Amino acid sequence: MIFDFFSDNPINTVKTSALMTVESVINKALEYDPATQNAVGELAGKVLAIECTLPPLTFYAVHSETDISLLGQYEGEADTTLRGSSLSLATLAIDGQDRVSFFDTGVEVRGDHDLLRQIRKILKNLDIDWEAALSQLIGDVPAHLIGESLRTSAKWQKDAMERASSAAAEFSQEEVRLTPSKNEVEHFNGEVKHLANDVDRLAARINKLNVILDKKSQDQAGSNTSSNKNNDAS
Amino acid sequence: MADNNTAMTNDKTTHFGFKTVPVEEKASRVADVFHSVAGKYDLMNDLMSGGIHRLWKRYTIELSGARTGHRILDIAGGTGDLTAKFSKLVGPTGEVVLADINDSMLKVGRDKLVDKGYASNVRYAQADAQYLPFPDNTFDCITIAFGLRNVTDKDLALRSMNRILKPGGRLLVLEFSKPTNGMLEKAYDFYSFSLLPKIGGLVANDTESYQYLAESIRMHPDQETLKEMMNEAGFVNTEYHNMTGGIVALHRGFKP
Ligand SMILES: C[S@@+](CC[C@H](N)C(=O)[O-])C[C@H]1O[C@@H](n2cnc3c(N)ncnc32)[C@H](O)[C@@H]1O
Repeated sequence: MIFDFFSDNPINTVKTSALMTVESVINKALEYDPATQNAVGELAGKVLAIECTLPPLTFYAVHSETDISLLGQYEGEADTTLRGSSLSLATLAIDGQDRVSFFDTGVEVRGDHDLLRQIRKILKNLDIDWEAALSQLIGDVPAHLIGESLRTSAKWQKDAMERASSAAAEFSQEEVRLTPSKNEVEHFNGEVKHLANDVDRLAARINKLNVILDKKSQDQAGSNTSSNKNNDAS
Repeated sequence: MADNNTAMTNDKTTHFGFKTVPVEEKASRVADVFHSVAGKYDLMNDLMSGGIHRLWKRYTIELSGARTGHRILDIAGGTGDLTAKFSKLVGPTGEVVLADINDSMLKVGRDKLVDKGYASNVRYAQADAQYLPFPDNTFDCITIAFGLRNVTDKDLALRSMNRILKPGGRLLVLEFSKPTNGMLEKAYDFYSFSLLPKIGGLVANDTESYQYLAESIRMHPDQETLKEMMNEAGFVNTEYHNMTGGIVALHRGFKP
């Protein structure tokens, strides 16, 4: 019920918080990998725009000296723009192949191709244990939930890539069939994560409140109960 | 509410939370509040808004248009959350000024940023939002996050910010506002008036300061009033976005 309050929100909280989460995981990984961090530093100021067509979602990877920011909005010019379905974009991000051209990837690449080559190298080098990294950031239970969904989507990506490599014609058909369901999965995962986080926070706050109330009632039992001047309006 | 706001600037008294105090006194009482909470501020922030303030701040960053080479002022910047992100986005050719009226707050902010290695393009200034000590047309962007409600003369502060923005530059005001939904407003009142000060008492050992915070939130102009105030101060294309059901609103305006 309380989540209804957020539904008319013009701001896409699921998108923003997902981007923030992925951003912190990547940047945590970079902290432990100085060589790759240097490689990012060499791209400082460069901006990669990612336009996902299915599901429709645009975001920007902005490189700084030490890390990467993932922003939902960016007003400057991107150096490189990628446009494609989530499947083709994911494949391009993780297949680790050396490519001279991106012609046959299903991803339209505009602008600086070299930047894309360097970013793919960085992604290839980055060794991220997503679940462990996430549990540091947000605690074990939500991390496990996300870990589950990442395993699901990793398997999904693997399956999809196997299909993709089989035949080009089949590829586009599979893509059309699969992509919406990945959209749903991602959306659902986002909601679950939110719910889990909110429940955690609520529980923590209720605990705190209980401690206060316990203390209050002890204090009052110890002193004069009639001196309670709190209003009882709420 | 709107009447209270105009009264604030005309009379010799002003609001300290719901208490009416002489104007000269307000600044020093606001300072007292932040001196007493400075050390626990980040922790309190997280508890107060359940971490959602990070999302609010991230959205502020996204609407700032910040990019390489920009010069940005984070006034009432406190412990420097926004400054940290801006520092990365503007890069070595840009500059971010973290400014606050309160030197305890500024110190905590500077220590935090220096620890995390943000030294190179961040400068620090002790400054009052009403009398900003910068030349005309200096900044591409100014942000004031959860700060405007503490400022005695908000109109004066808005004009001061307008003056030091470059033409085409923008002001972003992130501030508690008026919830759009009546139910939510009630729940929020309960939360901010009874729960928040108690949590404040527990964590920062300072119930009164957080009582003040809760009250000052309610005295702050609502969305439309603040938008109008920004227009009066010379901003154009002024707009606002409600977040979390209007508990917080982000206002944005441009200097023509
Ligand atoms: C609630 S904190 C917000 C800090 C930070 N912007 C954030 O969002 O986390 C409010 C800050 O406003 C500062 N402040 C209050 N009145 C001010 C004024 N007139 N000029 C500049 N800063 C002021 C306080 O010292 C305090 O650090």
